[in-house]
Amino acid sequence: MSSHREAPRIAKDPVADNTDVYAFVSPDDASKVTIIANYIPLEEPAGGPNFFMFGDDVLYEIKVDNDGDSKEEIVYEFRFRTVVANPNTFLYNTGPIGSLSDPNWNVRQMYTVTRRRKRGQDPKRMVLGTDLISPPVNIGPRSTPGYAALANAAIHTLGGGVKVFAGQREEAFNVDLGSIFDLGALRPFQHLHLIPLPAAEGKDGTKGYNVHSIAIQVPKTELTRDGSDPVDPMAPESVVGIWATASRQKARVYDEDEEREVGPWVQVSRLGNPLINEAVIPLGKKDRWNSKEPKNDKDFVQYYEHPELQILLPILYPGVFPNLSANPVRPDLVAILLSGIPPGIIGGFQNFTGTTLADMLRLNMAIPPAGSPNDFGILGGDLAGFPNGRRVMDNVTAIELRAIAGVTLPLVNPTYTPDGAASLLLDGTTNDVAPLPTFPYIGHPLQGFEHSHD
Amino acid sequence: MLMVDEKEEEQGNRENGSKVSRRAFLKTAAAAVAVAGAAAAAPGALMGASAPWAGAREGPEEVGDSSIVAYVRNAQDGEIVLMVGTREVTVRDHGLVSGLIRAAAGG
Repeated sequence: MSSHREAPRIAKDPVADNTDVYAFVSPDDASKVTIIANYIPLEEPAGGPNFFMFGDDVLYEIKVDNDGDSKEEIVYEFRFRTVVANPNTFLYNTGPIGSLSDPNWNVRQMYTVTRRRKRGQDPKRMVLGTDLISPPVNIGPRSTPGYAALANAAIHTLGGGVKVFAGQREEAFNVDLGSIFDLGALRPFQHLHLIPLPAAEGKDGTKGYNVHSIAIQVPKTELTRDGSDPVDPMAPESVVGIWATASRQKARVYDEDEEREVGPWVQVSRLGNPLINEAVIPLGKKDRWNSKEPKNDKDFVQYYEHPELQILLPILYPGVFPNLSANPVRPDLVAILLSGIPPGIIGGFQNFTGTTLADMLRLNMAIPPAGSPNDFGILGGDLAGFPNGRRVMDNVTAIELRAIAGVTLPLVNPTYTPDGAASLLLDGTTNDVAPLPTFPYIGHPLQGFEHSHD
Repeated sequence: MLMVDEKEEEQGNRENGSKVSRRAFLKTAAAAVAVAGAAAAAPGALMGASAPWAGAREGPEEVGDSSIVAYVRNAQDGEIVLMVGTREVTVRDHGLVSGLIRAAAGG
């Protein structure tokens, strides 16, 4: 999956597992950028009575590098607090939840948002909002009737033009898990696989599941290094690097029915570009990758230069990828994923953040939202899509499959000719829930009472 | 005063099969022992041991009634990590480590 259960250690800690990060210029307000960090993979919507929620013991952070040093200059911290109104019932709700103040709602979560800034910017640390309510999960027609209104009431407008939302959402990432993890098969092309089966449509393995999203919308001027409004796509000031993390305190003690956490925060999950720790970093390095800061990613550059999937594709699909079978070095992937695309490669575009190799989602904020978005992003000629940031609707699975198969290599190595199949690759899945047109953009969660995984 | 919860000792015996194997483990140079102590008691004990404060980032801070977790990271080097609140302090004290290992072994 994008980064769901992608490493051995975090697979055992779903509450802290960062599954996807999105960053894009808001389509309905181009003066602002929206950043979404998802956690808790594969939430079964009917998973009661203790429904999914954020961890009170987890520090969730969204980090922004705005000066090209691959270190965070701005951090948005999110801390949650759970309140159980009546501990003498096993029920999440004791009747229909008609509003966010409904006494029938027994288990609530509130959160605090704090902004941290570096380099002598005052105030260095500022609480943007406290006791902000997270909406209930979507249970069903009896418990959470009128869910959209309930969730929309949990969109909070803070000072300085900032909006936040934190709560359950529909899983917007689509991928054919069942096929891809069955020896790298892509159903539309599986008749060409080493172990062939008749070609078929893809099956979205995340269909019918939810996640928990933390979404924040901020003015672009809050993100630029000098507070300016980014209007020139070729200006370095227009580009920011974005990633999200989850951290836990170093020690946890179980003492009778009490649980105590103590010690400094330790990063246990990290995510910038989708699918990297999932499918590029090898098993023995995945936990380490999650614990490191992006500025140290030169330690992993060999896996970007020679991704394992590049070696596997010609083996799994005999005769289909003759040029890729030469296992060419991949400076294109290093540029796209670790440094940003420098000026001069794509006309009128760059999202270069300097020579420090760092896995961040890089967003050129001077590129306006597309009138007719193409879910193949830059590969589809749409400069407002991945890998210029990432929108909710971007088909990152197909984009990265094609990139690794060699489609992007000629950008920096004109002597390389991609195999014909490379530009056709996809897993054949789509998300059948459209993004919302307004903040928080990612769709309302599926209800427990009625949902389907087929 | 440093305390080792007897339940922890019993748990250790169950995990390692016998008391003998647990003691053998504790004798190894790289033994790591985690001890959760009552906050009000532990700081005094550590200060009383005249521990050289190695790696402490700042001067002594108020600990209040928070829990402290002490973790013997490297017995051979006498290195103990104290975790309190959201910070940690590293102490290097061979005598204290020896005492902790004896206490953890129940002796």
